[in-house]
Amino acid sequence: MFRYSKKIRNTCFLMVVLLIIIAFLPIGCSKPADQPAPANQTQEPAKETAADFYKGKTVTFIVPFNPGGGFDTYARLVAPYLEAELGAKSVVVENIPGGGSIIGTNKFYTSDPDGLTICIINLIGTIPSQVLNEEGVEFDLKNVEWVARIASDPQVLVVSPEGKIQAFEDFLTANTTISSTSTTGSTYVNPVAMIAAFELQSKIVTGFEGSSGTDLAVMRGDVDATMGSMSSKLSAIANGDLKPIVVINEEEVPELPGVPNAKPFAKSNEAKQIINAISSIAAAGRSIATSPGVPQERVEFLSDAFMKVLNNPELLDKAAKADMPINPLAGDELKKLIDTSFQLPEELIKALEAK
Amino acid sequence: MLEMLGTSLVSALTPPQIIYMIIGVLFGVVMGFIPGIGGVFVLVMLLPFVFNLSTEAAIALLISAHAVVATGGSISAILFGVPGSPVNAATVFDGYPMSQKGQAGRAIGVALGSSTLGGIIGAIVLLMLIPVVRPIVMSFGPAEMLFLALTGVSMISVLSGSNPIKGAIAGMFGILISLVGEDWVTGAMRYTFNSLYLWDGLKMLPVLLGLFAVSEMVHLCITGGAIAKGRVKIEDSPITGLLDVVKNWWLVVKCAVIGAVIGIIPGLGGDIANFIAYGYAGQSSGNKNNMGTGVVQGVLGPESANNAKEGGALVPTLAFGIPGSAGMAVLLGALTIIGLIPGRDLLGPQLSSVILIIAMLVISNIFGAALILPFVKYLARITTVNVTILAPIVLIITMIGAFNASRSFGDIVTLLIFGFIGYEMKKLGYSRPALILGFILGVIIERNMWLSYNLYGIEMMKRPVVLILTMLLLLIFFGPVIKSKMAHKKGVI
Repeated sequence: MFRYSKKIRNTCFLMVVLLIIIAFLPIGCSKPADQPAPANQTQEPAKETAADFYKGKTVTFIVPFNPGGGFDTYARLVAPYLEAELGAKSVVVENIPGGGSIIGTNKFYTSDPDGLTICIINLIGTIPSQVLNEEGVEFDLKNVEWVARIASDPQVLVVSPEGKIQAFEDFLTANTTISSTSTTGSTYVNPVAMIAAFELQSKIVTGFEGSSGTDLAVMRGDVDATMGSMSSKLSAIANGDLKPIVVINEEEVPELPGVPNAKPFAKSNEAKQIINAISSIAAAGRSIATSPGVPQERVEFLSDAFMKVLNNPELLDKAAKADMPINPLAGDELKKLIDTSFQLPEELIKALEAK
Repeated sequence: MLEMLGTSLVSALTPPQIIYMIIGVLFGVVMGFIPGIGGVFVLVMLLPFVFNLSTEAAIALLISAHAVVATGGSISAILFGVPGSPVNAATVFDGYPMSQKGQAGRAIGVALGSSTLGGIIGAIVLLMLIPVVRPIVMSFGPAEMLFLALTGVSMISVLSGSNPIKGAIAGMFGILISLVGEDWVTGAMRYTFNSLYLWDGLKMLPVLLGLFAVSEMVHLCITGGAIAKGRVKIEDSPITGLLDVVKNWWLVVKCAVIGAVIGIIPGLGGDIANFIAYGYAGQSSGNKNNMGTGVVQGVLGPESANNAKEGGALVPTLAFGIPGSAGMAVLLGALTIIGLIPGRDLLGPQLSSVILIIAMLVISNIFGAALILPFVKYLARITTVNVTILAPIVLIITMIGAFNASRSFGDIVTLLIFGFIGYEMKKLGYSRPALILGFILGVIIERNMWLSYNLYGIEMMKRPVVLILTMLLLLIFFGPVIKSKMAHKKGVI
């Protein structure tokens, strides 16, 4: 057993210790290195400006999904620029996946109100869960401090270019099937809203794995259509594998020229209300919030920093290369969008509850 | 085409690309070695750097790092029974027993040789299939995946060891625990006990690490000594392992093709490729009853498949822009950043980039193995380190690895519970590999069963691929019975 010299064993031991340190790397990357110092934030707010406060601090940027998705990519794109703009020691992206973004959002909501924790919010996943008062929800997004929108997240209805339906007018009257991942999230909430608003004859088939699963189902012809974030479908649309027939968003969508917006199709009052609600959720898209109760001065400082970062030509260049639209929004306009997002009409809530 | 191959090979081998390839391979191997860090994490870590690189350099860095993660993971699987990531799970079944027999060096040699060969074959599959991939991917809908997964269930018999009934029980238990979490069809929560952690089901990594790493370390603590029992043959070198690969080259090729084909089908998940290859290696080598006791075929099958899988998984990613796995989704994002547009143009103006990717797959696989080879002698000595030193270190690394699954305390609880279950299963002779296979296949079967029932109803049986797979299933289940009946008849006459 001990046939090796002490030297070899020591070397082995050192190597393993080194490996343990490397193994800590991914965890280390995602935890704040130093604890916030809340001591003097209440006693002497006048002396310390927000800029002083952030100097040398570590800001935690919570992404309530696994690494690699759309929300994560946006957060990782922005983080280094934000670090420089805030003058912070570092901005670390922390992935807290689970429960369709509910776990990470819960953790964000209960973080210290010092402005050192920000979170990218998955609105289409969390707003319906909060309004329906679903199990596990501990957050109240009406209370959080909204910082800025990085980009809107237009939702799109796509069909196969070879399928029987080629325009939204045909879709309105046809018997159709729509692929979806589960009973939450954008692939489910959007079609439920469309069915409720336009009294569609559509059946939602749930259980596909991720947006690549729902998209492939349309391409194979297993279902007629699917809905979801435009950004995840742009390359398939450019390739001619998927055809967008209607888009849901407040603003114009320059990436999809000639594709009609859903709003003009809504005739009745109920329909208009439903489409307005999901349009504003789509428009609020990928927005950043900080914990409830953060001093107003710091929220404004964060918000200004974000707006500067999102207008930085270097970042815009990277985003353009990666096919990631950037359309920043802050202040009252963002607040207004989020407020509208919460006004889910009775019909939509009933339809979502029915599952 | 050949001329293109030549010119892009030349462009692949310019000094800056080689340097980025070396950095990528080093990073990939070390990260793969550490449990809990898979290909996704490696790519996410490298992503910030690709913005400022040339297309060729970025491809060299990303592809080479991602290609060798499974090679690095095989070493920890063999040495400690701790799979680097789920793609190395099946390597533990025979690789760790080989270490216990004092053949760690040979086992790593086998893993390196078959990983390299598998990776190269995966690259060749990618090269050949890109033009014809559309019909293959399009013919695999939910019904086909359901029947493919059902065929995979038959592998439980290979994984069961000497007691098929106990193996079946373990497999069923695996399917049962795969049902924990949200039901995607109705949104109902099953066996979640009001815990948010369980909403998404049990995570693969803590279950796997608990069943194997924790239980083996507990076992080692109780028995004492070192991992390698009895006389350790120091002369046992990786060269012996490489020769084993040469001797079994045809099996390596077949397992690599299995891996690549499973990689091509989006949604099937690369995690099962190494299991299917393990099962196939056991069946076809005639070593079925010895599987799990430390046979060479049990290492080279899965190791060849998990490297070949990368080439296969790139096929739909490049040809459609549809990523089949989380790792491929990140890679797709990175490729877009460096200006490569996946899709139909691939065979036109972008062909040289595709050839570069293929060349990088081949070169980095060879280089990754060559890099580890000189260290195998020293690595193998870890198996002679006394448990009092080894167990605490391995357990800490294992816990960190499990915690990486979702960075939640629940991961640690899952790890410890399955460590206990794994230890009891080992003691009572229940097959842990069968449990893991059931756990992986359970998710695929349930998801696709509901989907195909809702989409096609009973009509699904009329689909051609389903018919072929049904025949195969009948053959697998009733073949042995018919065979023995025939033999019996002959005997009577």
